[in-house]
Amino acid sequence: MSAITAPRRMVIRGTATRSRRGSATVRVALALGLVGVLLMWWLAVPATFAVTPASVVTTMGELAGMLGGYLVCAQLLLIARVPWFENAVGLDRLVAWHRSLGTSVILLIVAHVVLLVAGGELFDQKTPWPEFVAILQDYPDMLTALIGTIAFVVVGLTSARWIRSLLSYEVWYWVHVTTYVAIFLTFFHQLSGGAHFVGYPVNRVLWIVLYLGTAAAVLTWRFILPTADAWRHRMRVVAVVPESEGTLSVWFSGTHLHTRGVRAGNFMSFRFLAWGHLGTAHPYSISRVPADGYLRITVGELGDHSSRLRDLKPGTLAFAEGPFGQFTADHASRQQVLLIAGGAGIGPIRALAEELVARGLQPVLIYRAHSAAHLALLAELQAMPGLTVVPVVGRRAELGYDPLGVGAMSRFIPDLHDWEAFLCGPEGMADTAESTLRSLRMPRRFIHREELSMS
Amino acid sequence: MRRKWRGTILFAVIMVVMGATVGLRLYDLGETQTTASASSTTTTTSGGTTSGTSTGSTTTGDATATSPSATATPSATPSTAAASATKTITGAVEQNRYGSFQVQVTFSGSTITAVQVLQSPGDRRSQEINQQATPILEQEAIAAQSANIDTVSGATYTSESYMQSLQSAIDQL
Repeated sequence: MSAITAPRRMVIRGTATRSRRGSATVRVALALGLVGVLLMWWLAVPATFAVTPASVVTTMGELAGMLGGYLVCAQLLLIARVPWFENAVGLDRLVAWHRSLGTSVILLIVAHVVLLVAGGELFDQKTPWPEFVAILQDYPDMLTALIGTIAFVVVGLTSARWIRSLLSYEVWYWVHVTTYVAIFLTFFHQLSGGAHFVGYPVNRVLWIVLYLGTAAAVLTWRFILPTADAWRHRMRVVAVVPESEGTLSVWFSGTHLHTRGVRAGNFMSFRFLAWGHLGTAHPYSISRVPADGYLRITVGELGDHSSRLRDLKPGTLAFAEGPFGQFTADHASRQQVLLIAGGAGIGPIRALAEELVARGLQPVLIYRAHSAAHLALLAELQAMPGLTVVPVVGRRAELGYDPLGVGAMSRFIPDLHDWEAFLCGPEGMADTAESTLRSLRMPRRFIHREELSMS
Repeated sequence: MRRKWRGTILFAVIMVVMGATVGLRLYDLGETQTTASASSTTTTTSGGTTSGTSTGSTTTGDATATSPSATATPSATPSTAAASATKTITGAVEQNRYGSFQVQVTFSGSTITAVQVLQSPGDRRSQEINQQATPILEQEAIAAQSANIDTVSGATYTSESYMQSLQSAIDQL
């Protein structure tokens, strides 16, 4: 890897602020979209609108449906791997936004159904169930809408935290994929039955543009370009190497890998052409950026799928999507850098350490693990000149104190508020470390954190 | 903890904004409806004053008004009481995608005085739309004295069927 010299780091300051501005821009754009939908509704309310309890409840239901329909598109666009959103926000935060928006979309869809049924009840004095059936019969394209809505609710439920934790990634993933079908199925009743679309050509056109645009973005960045990339690089598994208890590395070879634009700290989404692997794509962090035609990921054996990586045969084809992530050395703007890794979080941290060292910095790495047998990549980390590795082994209960707590950290590095930190590891560890750094007055913009989960 | 409830909080905020928007819109509607009725009363009075001052236009108005009645009298000669006779004519049944639609038109001579809806699609949505649209369509028809009237926005199918059925009734006159 070629050394990167100081002038490059001047640009880097700009990148960090641009990222914050970018994420604000995306949020403002989303809010403007919501206002736009409210406006579409506003202009499509006829001047002769008769104000009765029934009509008010019904129109609220219609508006809830419209906002839900808009936010579904926003949600898809956020995780469609659109490079512009990627650069502006970063995929890990986009996934978090997608999650939060998902909750509100499901609640809006439920509100849409409940309000329309309630409005109908007020109108023709029926009980809920006959009214529900009547609505299904009266409006056009309601069968597809019903199927789509059920799919939406199932997707929402399987993503709820306590149910998600009971399901395997594979089940969750495949249920989640049905969202595409659900969106397609529910689209028709919006145009053919929506009171604010039938007879309002402008609204119809806007809505069709929104949905076609979203579909085009998903198709381009989730299917066409990844397929082209897979073909271009033709990545294959070269070797699977156990690194420590619970951690293993997979080495890949491929053509033109160095042109892929993989940065230290990035992750990619991998799908292997082998039984038990083809069905799902999994995000894994790069622990060694492409050099000499090889790339390496280091994976914690947490889920079923990660464990099955052990059985991958050399020569297996791999489709990789990405790279993704904002967890790169571009965001480092201070001279003193602290790296904190836990478990499989060592993968991206190791790649970052290599790049930081190449830039002439002397980072310090705190490496948390349950036991010495869990420490992975230790030998190559210690062989890195300029990097200070501090393995902290043992569970908190065994140690009798929290090594990432305020007391321990302030003794370890007294001037921590002048440092910059990169954290990667299990959520609990990262939360503790972040709150410690915050209470030691490290400004938030110098704390960089990567989540290890996509779902 | 905050992130955990972010989606639900967002939903609550959206519902509040929605409620506020609907409330504002309905308030705005109430305002415009009252100002519209107020302005319509002022225009009728101002119309009265203008017709009083400009005699030229009133005479031409009279001339055009007499010509249809002149044509109406010979056609109405069989019935002696002629022009003021009231007739109701039922229009053709028109089909649209939601069902069938039919109007009955009341003529005083050749003047449309009322339009009644005999048949309309029975589904709840159509009933809701018709409840709002048909009074407007009737007013338009009486004002235009023809089936060549504006479509009521949000009630395209109803409006089209209404015009067709109305036209067939006028054709039978």
